[in-house]
Parts: sequence; structure tokens; C-alpha cells
Amino acid sequence: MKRVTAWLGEVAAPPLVFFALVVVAWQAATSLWEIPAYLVPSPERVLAAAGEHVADLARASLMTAGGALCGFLLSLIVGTAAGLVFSQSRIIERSFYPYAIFLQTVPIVAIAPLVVMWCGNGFGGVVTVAFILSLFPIVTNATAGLKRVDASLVELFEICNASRWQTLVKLRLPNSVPYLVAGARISCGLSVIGAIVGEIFAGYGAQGFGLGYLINMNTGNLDTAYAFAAVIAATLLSIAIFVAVTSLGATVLARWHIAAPRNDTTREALATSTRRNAR
Amino acid sequence: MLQTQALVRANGLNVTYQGEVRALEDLAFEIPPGQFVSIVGPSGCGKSTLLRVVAGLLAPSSGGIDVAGKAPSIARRSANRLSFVFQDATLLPWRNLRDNVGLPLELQQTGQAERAARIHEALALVGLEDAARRFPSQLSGGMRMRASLARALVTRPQLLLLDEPFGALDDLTRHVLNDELLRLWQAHGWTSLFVTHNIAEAVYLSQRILVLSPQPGRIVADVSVNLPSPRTADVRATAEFARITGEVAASLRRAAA
Amino acid sequence: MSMSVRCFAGMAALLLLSTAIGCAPNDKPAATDGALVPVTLQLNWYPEAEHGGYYAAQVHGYYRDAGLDVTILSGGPDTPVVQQVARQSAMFGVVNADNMLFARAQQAPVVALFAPLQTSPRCLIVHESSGITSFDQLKDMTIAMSPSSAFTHFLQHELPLEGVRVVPYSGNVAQFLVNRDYAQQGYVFSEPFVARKAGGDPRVLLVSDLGFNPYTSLLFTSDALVAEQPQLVEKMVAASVRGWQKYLESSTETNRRIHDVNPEMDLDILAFGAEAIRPLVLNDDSRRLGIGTMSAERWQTLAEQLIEIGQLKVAEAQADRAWTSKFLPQQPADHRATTD
Repeated sequence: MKRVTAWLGEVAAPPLVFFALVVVAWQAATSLWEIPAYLVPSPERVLAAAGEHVADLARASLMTAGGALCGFLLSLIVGTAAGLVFSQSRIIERSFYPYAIFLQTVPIVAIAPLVVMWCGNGFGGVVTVAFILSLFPIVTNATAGLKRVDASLVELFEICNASRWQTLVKLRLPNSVPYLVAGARISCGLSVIGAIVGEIFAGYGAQGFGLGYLINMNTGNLDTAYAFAAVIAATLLSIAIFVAVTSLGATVLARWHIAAPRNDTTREALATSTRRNAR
Repeated sequence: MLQTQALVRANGLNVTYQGEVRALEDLAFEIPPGQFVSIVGPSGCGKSTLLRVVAGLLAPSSGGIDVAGKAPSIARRSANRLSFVFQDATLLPWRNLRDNVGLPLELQQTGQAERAARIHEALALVGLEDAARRFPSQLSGGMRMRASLARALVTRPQLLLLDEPFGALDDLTRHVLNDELLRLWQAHGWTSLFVTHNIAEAVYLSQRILVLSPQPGRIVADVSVNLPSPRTADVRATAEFARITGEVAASLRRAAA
Repeated sequence: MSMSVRCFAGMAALLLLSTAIGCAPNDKPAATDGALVPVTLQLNWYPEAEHGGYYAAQVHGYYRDAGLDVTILSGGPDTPVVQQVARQSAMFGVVNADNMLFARAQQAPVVALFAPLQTSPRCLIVHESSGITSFDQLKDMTIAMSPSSAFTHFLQHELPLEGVRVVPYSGNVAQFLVNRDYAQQGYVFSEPFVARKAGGDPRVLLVSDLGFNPYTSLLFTSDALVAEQPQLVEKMVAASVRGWQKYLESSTETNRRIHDVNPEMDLDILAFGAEAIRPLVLNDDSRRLGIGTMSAERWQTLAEQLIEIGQLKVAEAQADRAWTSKFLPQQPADHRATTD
């Protein structure tokens, strides 16, 4: 119980307080300056719109989440594979790495229509755009994690006459896990953005509609409050996915005991949790 | 266990980095099997480089080096030929002690049953049987170094190479581990090449000390350590101990001049 | 104050400041004797045939004759025309009737003045080879239409559309040309021509045939301008009417200007557009009451349709305040005919 209160106080409270302050300021601004609804809706109106359309917003969030997660998972698989190849061959790394950077820097809104043209509309198109946006951080982090191994560990494996494959699987891959977790935390947020942009260009068709569709539709009919509500839903979705990925990552890292304890209390906590988890 | 042929032999050994930096120059020595040899010298004299050449991690620029009559990288292929203990424990953080100690056997694809037996044996040697399921981050520096030792011994090596293994530990732990190492050596009799910059440690542990000069490293002295065996801690208080320590120190000073 | 509190306060202040800057109203130009009054007209898309009359008024000097120095600002996808005119950063704008109703529902103080296109050019383009000749035959295919347009929701509401996959419109006819089971949105005088020119076989289904017929390419302005400078508004409308009459009569010179400002629009498309637009501008109402006339009945019908398809809320609809006819000059639509 004490840990929950501590967590609430230290971790959850500050951003929530900030959020509350922003909402109050926003409400005050829209009322004081009589800002018209079609420009900036007040938090009140946004809340009303959210309440009115909560079912649609929930459905759309699920669809966008599906597209984002598929794109994200695909980027994890392909990105790690690319990292494996890059870490093993300098020539391949030098040949292909610039294109990975290109994927990162080209504005997604420019290539999304092209993606739709090649991959078609619907779920495939959405996942592809989400994938393209999330790929780069995974590739860089995977490559770094596979290459940045302690020199002494590499020497150890060499002295034990380990084969290239053994070194890759038993040393480099486990070494890359914290890097992959770091990359995953960046990519998961990007995948939501990608899914929404993908939806605006690709759409789901008969299968349903996502948050991108709602934002698009309500920008067209000037229902800014509803559009804002959809944007907030997208933000909440992003946060939820980020929190999930972060905690999963932390669990994986704790299980692998890679994170070096920064102070004694952490070491103690780590030891306690191991004792609890050990069979 | 005793063989008449030298286990490690160097002849006119030169190591030069990138054609410019001469790390080791014209080294020549022979180490008979079962001898505990320390290599001492100032920082940068190339002692770690020498160890790596013997391990086959580094190729000499010119000159010869062989272990049991073969080139080190080939000699290494023989399962129990040599082991290396690094300056830091180099344990894989994501494996528990058991799996860390068993790594060399795993890489050799030794069978499960034998591996388990050997791991248990190695852990018992260093007194870490109870910590088998712990992870490196949960252990103290001294325990980690013991685990590193256990890993080196799990293959029952003929040649043990140690690169300043106790340098990062506090004096108390260092003394304890010195005794452990000595005890293990006295029980198993492997040939040892022990790099250190601590003269007292070198004298305490070895039968012979090779003194290297500052860069480029050359052997400036080959000191025999005729202290009684088995050694106990009180040998440190003897006059002979002080004399040998002084002799080594003097060689170092002369070489630095 | 602690670091984090200072941080919050700073962020909040920044937020308020940027909102304030964003919402500051712009100054309106005042009329001075003799000199031309500068006027801005913001379009809702790239310059095309549907803006022909306004460009004609500029090219043939009708705005100048009325004492107005009109600058026509090109639009594009997502140009916030309503917001700009409502804030008076542009004096006049061009939108369609459904946009006007959405704007008023959000309390944007804007009002429509003049509706040159009486019949909406909005259509769906199907393949001739598909054999589809009417809307209820649309099934088991892909239709590309934008979810930010009202007609999309109208069609989805009205038609069964069995097995139809609605996808966003890509903005060009490329997909239409390669895909057989494909239809897309368009304007009757634009995309079909482009498709045919590229070798396709387009057939047009007019959305207005289904009864969804918002006035198109309306000229509109802010309530404030109507209240403060009614003569200016009257002159603008009158000159625009003359422009549209001219465009129907002779469009060559105007089309050259449109092509200059929008090189993507070839002259042959514009020529086709100018012809195809005639029946859209001239219907019974406009022939009788003048080009650009508007009726309460049509506005009301549109509002009801938008409410029914869920795009407009009953409580917020202000159909009657969305338009005014008081600036429409009475003139015979076809000026070649004698007055009736």
C-alpha cells in the first residue's frame, strides 16, 4: 500500500497536476477571450463531444491500436533481423544503412500516398505506414546492441573457441536486449502516429474506422470539439502503449538482471524480487 | 603432470601496433609446466599484450611464440589447454552463476551431465556452491572474481593466464583471494602466467617473476622466488620476502631510469 | 517557487500567449476616396473552372470598375477558408453550402451572399465497362471518397452499398485508371475529362440526382463586414455576378489566367470545364431570379439532410443565418434574352 501511495505521489501526481493546470488555463482562455468554438473548443465542449461519441471513439481507438501494434511488431521483427545482418557484415551495413536513415527523415505525409498506391487501402496500408515510421529506431538500436559488446566478453568467447554463430546467439543477442527495449519505447509511440497517418490515406474501408478517420471527418465538418476528442484519444492510446511497452521492457530486463543497480536500495529491491521470483 | 618440454616458449617476440607503437621488443623466455610465473612492470609496459599473445588473441609482429609446441590459437583448440581470467570478472549479466561458470563447457558442447558435475566441482573449489542461482549483479566484487576463476577452472586447464585479476578489489579481499588462488594452484598444479603491478602480490604467489621495462617492453630481470611451499600468510613477514621484493623493485627502478 | 511549479507556470503562460496571438483579429482596410479598396478573396481549392466567374471579374476589370482591388488567394486541400473569413484575415471566401452550415453550427459568424453553381458538380465516376448506370447498382467494389466531405456520409447513409469498400480519395485518377472495380469522387467538369484524356472510360453519376444538392462555389463573408461595410459587400457581389455572366459567355481569356496561376490545369480541361459548368449555373431558379440566387427551401433541405446523416446537430443548425439574399442584384440570367 505504501509503495502505491509513493508511486502515486512521485510518478503519477506531477504530470496529472500539470494536466489539470493546462485544462484550467485552457478553459479560462476560451471563456475570457471568448474564443470561438470553431477555432479552439473549450475543454467543456471537448468533454461533451467525447461523452457523446464515446462508443465510436472507443471503437476507433481499438482499430488504430490494432494497426499500430501490428506495424510495431513487424518493425521489431524486421528491425532486429536487419540489425543482425548489419552487425555481421560491414559491407551490407554501409550499403543499406543510408536507406534506413532515409525512412526516418522523409516526411511520412509525402510517402504515405505512395505506400497506399503500392500496398493498397485497408489494414495492409495502415500497417505498412506504421511499420515504416517505427522501423528506424529498432534498426539503429539493434545494430548498436549487437555490436557494442564489452571487448573482454568478446575475447572470452574467442578464447573458448566459440563459433561466430555461438557468439551471435549467446553473447550479442542477449547483450542487445536493453538496446532493443530502448528502441521499442521510441518506436511504439511512432507506430501510433504512423497508424493514424496511414488511416487518413489508406482507410479501413468496410472493416471499420480508426482515429485518423474521425479526425479527418470532423475537420471537414468543422466539429473541432469532436476532432480534439479524437486527438486526445490518440494521445491516451499512445501513452497506454508506451506504458505497456516500458513495463514489459522493465520486466524483461529485470528477469535478465541486466540493469546495474544504481544504489543500494535498488540492489536490495532487485535482490528481494529475485528471492520472491526464484523457485 | 610434469613434462620435460616447456609449456610456453617465446623467442625474439615483437609486437608492434599499427607499424609505429612498439609494445613488446625481443622477448625470449621458456616456462616449464606447473610453474607459477608473475609478470610485473609499470603501466603500459605491455604485460597485458604479452598475455594476449600467449592466449592467441593477438598475433606477434615477428618472432615466435608457442604453447605446448603449437601456435597459441591452435593450441587453444585442445579442450583443456588454456583459460584466461580477465581484469574484470566478465560475467554475462543475464546468466546466473551456474550458467556463467558453465559457459566454456557449453561452448564446447559438453554433455549436460558432465557439465553439471564440472560446474559443481568448480563452484565448490571457490566456495560458491550456495550462490549458484544468483546473478552477477547480486554479488560483491570478490565473489564475482571467484566466479570468474571458477569459470576458468571448469575446463581443468593446463595453462592459466590471469590479467591483473585482483586489481579492482580492496586489500582485504585481495589477500583472501591470493590465498585461494595459491591453495588451488598447490592442489592442481596448472602452469600460471599472472600479470600484476603489485610486487608483493607477485612475490607471494609465484615461483618466478619476469620484470618488464617501460614501453617498449623488454625482459629486464628474471627473478627466482625460492620461498618455502606450501606458503602461508606469515611468509610475508620473512626477511627473504623483503629481499626479493626489494630486488624486483630495484629492477623496476633501473629499467625506468 | 520550486523548479517544477515555475515550469508549469511557464508552460501555461506560453499556451495562453500563443492562443492569444493566434486569435487576434486583423484590421480591415477602409475605403478612401478615389483609391481602389484592397480586397482579399480566399478560394477553397486550387484555381479551377468552378472559380471561373471570380477570375473573369478580375481579368475583365469588373472588380476594378466597382472600385475594388481584389486579390484572389489560391486554396488547396485543408485550406481553412471558413476560419480565415470568420477571423477576417480574408475578407471574402469561396466554400460550398454544407461548409456554411457546419460553420454556423460552430457559431462562426459568416454568411453566404451568392451561389453561382446552382447544381452541385459533385459526382461519382465509374467505369463504363462496369455497366453501372445508377447509384443503387454500386456494389462489390471500392469507392474512393473523402470522409471529410459531407456527400460521402450522405451516400453511405442513403445507399445500400453492399460489399463496397469505402477508402479515402487519393487526389488523382491514377487508381481509377488501373483498377476495374473502382469508383471515385469528382467534379463533373474536371476528373472525368482528365480520366478520358488518360485513356480511361469514365461514366458520371451526379450526386445531385439523388437529391443531395448543396450550392457550390458560394461567395461568403463575415457578419462583421456585412454590418460595417454593406456597400463594399454589395459591390463585390455585383461585380462577381458580372464575372460569372462573362465566364459563361466567353471563357478563353479567363481560362488563360487560371492556367497561369495553376499550371496543373491544362487549357483544354478548363475549356471543357467552362462548357460543362453552364447547365450547373443556369437552372430554372437562376434563369428566373438571376445568377447566384438562393432559396430558403434549399438551405432548409440541406440542413435537414445533414442532420439526418448525423453530420449536423439539430440544436446547433442555423440554416436561416447562413445566407442572405439582400446583396443579390436582380438581373436576368441569360442577358442575351430580352427581359421577361
